[in-house]
Amino acid sequence: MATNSLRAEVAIVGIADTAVGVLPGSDANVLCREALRAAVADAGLQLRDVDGLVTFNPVSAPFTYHAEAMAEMLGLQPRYCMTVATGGATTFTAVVQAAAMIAAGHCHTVVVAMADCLRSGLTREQAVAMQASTGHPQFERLWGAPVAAHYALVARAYMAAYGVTAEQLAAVAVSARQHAARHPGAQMRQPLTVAEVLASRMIADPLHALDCSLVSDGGAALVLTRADRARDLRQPPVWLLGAGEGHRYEHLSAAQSLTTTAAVESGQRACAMAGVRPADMDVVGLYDCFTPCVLLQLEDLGFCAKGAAGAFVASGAIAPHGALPVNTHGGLLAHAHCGHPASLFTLTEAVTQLRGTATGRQIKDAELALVHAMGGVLSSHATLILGRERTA
Amino acid sequence: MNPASPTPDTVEYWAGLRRHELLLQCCASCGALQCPPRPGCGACAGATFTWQRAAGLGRLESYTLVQRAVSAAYAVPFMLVLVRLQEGPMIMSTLILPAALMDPRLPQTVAVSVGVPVEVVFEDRSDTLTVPRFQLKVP
Repeated sequence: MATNSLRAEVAIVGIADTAVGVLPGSDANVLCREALRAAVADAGLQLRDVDGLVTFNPVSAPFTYHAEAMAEMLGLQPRYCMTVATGGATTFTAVVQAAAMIAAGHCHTVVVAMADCLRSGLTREQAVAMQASTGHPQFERLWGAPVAAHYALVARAYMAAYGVTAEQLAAVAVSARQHAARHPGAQMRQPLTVAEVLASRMIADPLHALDCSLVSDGGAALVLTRADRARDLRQPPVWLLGAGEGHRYEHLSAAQSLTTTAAVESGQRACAMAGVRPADMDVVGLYDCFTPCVLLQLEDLGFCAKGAAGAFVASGAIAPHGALPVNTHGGLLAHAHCGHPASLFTLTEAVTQLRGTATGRQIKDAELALVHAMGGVLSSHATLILGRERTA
Repeated sequence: MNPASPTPDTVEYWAGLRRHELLLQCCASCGALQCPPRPGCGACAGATFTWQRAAGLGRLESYTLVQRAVSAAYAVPFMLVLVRLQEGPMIMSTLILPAALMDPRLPQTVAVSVGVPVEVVFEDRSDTLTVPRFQLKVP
């Protein structure tokens, strides 16, 4: 039985992004510490006010107990530490767990801080191991297909089922660049055309190189605190109004459907908790590791009818000034994709929009945001609903 | 790359492939069929299975011509596929294709599309390892 026990119990009161992109010589743990300190400062808090720490164990610089290692280097002895190590959705599920720990009274102020240096920080062995890590070790990895090929299988099935075209997929990448051009920190801010996407090297058809997200360094952090503590801090609180998850399988060969994902139940659960509908959203952040993923999420989260997202994105609807701007920071396709921490940029962007401080790209009167993250090969999904007001 | 070593729940599957048999797990509790094998039944969580030989026939659920593999150890391009076996389960494999189809610069005369019938081909990689690949089924 689902409950609404997390609705408006916790607010995001501090955020920070590090520099992102190609950062030669960068170290994931230094970036994580920088993001953490900056988010605490943004909240107007001191490090000693933090009594919970949730981190991601970076591929490029892991510790056995990463959150504890971060606490150690900051002189913290938190009541609560947790390290997550799996995919993109976990970044949001970690936020939900932090919120649940606060709501349960286990601690009162948690920083979620994550960084990785996939562009500059991996040894050759780490890079090879990461490339080869997609799929079941006995039944899928033997073919040597990269993660893009697994997503290409989904894309092909989806295109065949609904008549979606490569041009429509490319429109997602074009839109991401248009958004990134308005974000001063984004990694890829140059304009892009559909023709350029289609002319880029084929990785695994129908996915071209420019249908694939970036490889980046970077990190971000956010501070969550209890409702009664959130009111009188430096920043206006952004309330966590809803959270939902959906998990259908791990390995693609076990997928019940290649064209409908667990984003369906994830989104429904989050909206039910918040008491909102997709149509109420002002700000939307989706997990755009590959262009077709945005189409699937637009449909499965209830923004488009099944099969209608291709025409929707091709009309410019998700671009700046469109009917439903998606990923106003540029997303994984154009802002940065530093691995699992990258979903946090979607979250910090949503908070920035709800605060009304997204200079140069502000969505007017933004009050409600839906952000979605996923991991595996469309396997694991998490949706959050954020609001400027405590009641939606 | 060779697959990871068999686990107790998969030894029989790999042994079947050596005999050029594609085996399905049949749940002793609910009768559901699954492939590839897993330690538990995805339908009812049952943990006991019998083995059933698959016909080796199926249809393409999806396909992609992979131009860039995870390492230089794999020849590209190759066609990664998801095959829906006639008996129900879906497995990931690669499709053996006429050479012309593997070169995207050549006119494509052989039709690969979602739904086309395929059949299993047992590829002996060594004296101890056989892997299940597929080819288009000639009508």
